Amino acid sequence: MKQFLKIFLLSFIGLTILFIPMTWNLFPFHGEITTFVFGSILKQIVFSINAEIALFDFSSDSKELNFLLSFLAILSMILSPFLLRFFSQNQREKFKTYIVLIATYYFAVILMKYGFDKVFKAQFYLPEPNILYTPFGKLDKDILFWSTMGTSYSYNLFMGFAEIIPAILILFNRTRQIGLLISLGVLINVFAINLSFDISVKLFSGFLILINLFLLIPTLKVVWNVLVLKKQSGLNESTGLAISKSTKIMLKSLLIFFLLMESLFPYLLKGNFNDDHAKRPFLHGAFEVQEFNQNGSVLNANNSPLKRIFIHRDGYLIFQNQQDEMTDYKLEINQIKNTFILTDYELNKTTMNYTYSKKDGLLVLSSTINGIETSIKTKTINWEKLPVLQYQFHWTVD
Amino acid sequence: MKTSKLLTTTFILFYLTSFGQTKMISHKSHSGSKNTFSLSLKKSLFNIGESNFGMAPERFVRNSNLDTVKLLSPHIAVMITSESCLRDDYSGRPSYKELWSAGTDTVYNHDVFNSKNSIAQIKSKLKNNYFFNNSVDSIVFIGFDGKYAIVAPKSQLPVNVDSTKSLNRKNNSQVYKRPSLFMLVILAILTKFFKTPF
Repeated sequence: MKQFLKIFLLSFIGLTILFIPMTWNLFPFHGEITTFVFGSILKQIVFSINAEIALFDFSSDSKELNFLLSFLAILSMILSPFLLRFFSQNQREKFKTYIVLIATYYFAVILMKYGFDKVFKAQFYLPEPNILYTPFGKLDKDILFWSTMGTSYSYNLFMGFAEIIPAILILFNRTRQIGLLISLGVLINVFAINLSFDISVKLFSGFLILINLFLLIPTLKVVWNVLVLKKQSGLNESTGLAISKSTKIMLKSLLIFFLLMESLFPYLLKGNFNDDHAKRPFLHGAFEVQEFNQNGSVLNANNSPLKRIFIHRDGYLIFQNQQDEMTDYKLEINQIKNTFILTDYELNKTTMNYTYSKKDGLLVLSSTINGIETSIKTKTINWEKLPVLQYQFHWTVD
Repeated sequence: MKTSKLLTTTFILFYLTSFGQTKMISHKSHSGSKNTFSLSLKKSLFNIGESNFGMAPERFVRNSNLDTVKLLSPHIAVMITSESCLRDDYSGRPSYKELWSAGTDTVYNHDVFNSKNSIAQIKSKLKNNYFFNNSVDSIVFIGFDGKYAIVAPKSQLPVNVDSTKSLNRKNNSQVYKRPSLFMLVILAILTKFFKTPF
């Protein structure tokens, strides 16, 4: 039974690493491989049980990903007896060595990617103006947590290095187990955050803990012996691959180079190592409505149905009404014709004319829809001066 | 028996820990509602595919370049723009291209682009009142020397909206093409490990 569980776990971890479609910079076809291998069969299963699927892709915490992992678990269960029967003890050990090796480097690169994403402020980015002007209580927990994290550069550095340092330690035999112990603490915290703030990386962070525990098994035994059973204990030297030292050094150097490139490639290419200072698109920001004019009747700021408008860095125009409700549209700016083309979620398009004076920060939007002429006069808000975006640090309170 | 219990518990845990977003966080960042999130997912709208697993989102910072201004007559000008796309995405995945605005625009009786203004005046107005990404000195002006530009037959127009899209696609694939060397190295490593040619 123990042997079966061991082979099952090895197969499951191996298959999951192979088929969870991660976003790799150097290998962007991961998702396509998964879809090619499992796409049609999973689609058939999903539709046969009438599960509601919005978009068939294996993204984080989607039903599709759940189906995929369940399918891989079943596949591992089916494969395990065959592997037990037809693999000799020696071959099984070799199989274990390969899976441990793959899992180790996979785990290290994932930690490194998440770590550098934090250090370079790309994961928890600076909150967008529309979020900053949304009342606190109206935000969902996940976006609230994400945005709060985005306001502190130093905490992002801390969390980033808390992932990068164990990732580096894991790459070397001598420091691997201490790296895994540190990463276990970090990941348990991440998993708890994902559960508590309803952040949709629950399944994947759970899988990372599984890999972490799997790689940490030898150390956990020692920790149990020493701390609980008060017995003397030590780690056995891992056998590793039977290859010459020079080949090992060469392969390892190459692999570490690729892992670093995978994590750093986007940032090196952009030359930007702090997303807070990355270039924002034209007119990005927040605008306070000063005047709302409909068919000649002018309403001032207090009586206007709209309070603010925002232009999001990913190309969205967002209207905030007096009740602080937001309505967002995909935005295309035609700078020649001075028009905004707004697209709603039903793909209906609306065109608005704009004039913008950089000097006064005035943005005026106007449109004529069904004979109703509307003009909205707005003024730029210096959202970057909001207290939450200021550097604050005090050792003392008085 | 124990094994089956353990596996069942694992499955239950997997299901209990689902219900997700991440794409949801990206959607909520532009104040998208839960209803529009479902629509976005169903129709794969806008930049819904640019976020996953809580990693750094793939961003597209788009700005327009004004490349050429052709004066066809005293009151008609053709502007050729291209998309200056600072792309933070290196995954090579398709993006929502329907919104790309680059291409050719014809303007009639335009305040700036007409025969009354000299190139120097147009450049000055562009500098002060327009916000193109490129420098005004890099813009090519044709037909402002008294000899109006000739309109090429439609099939020969240098840029139209459709061809721009295909151009953008082509350019993207050229710029962000992954080195095939990488695959060769991986295969070489696998061959070495498994002592079997892949």
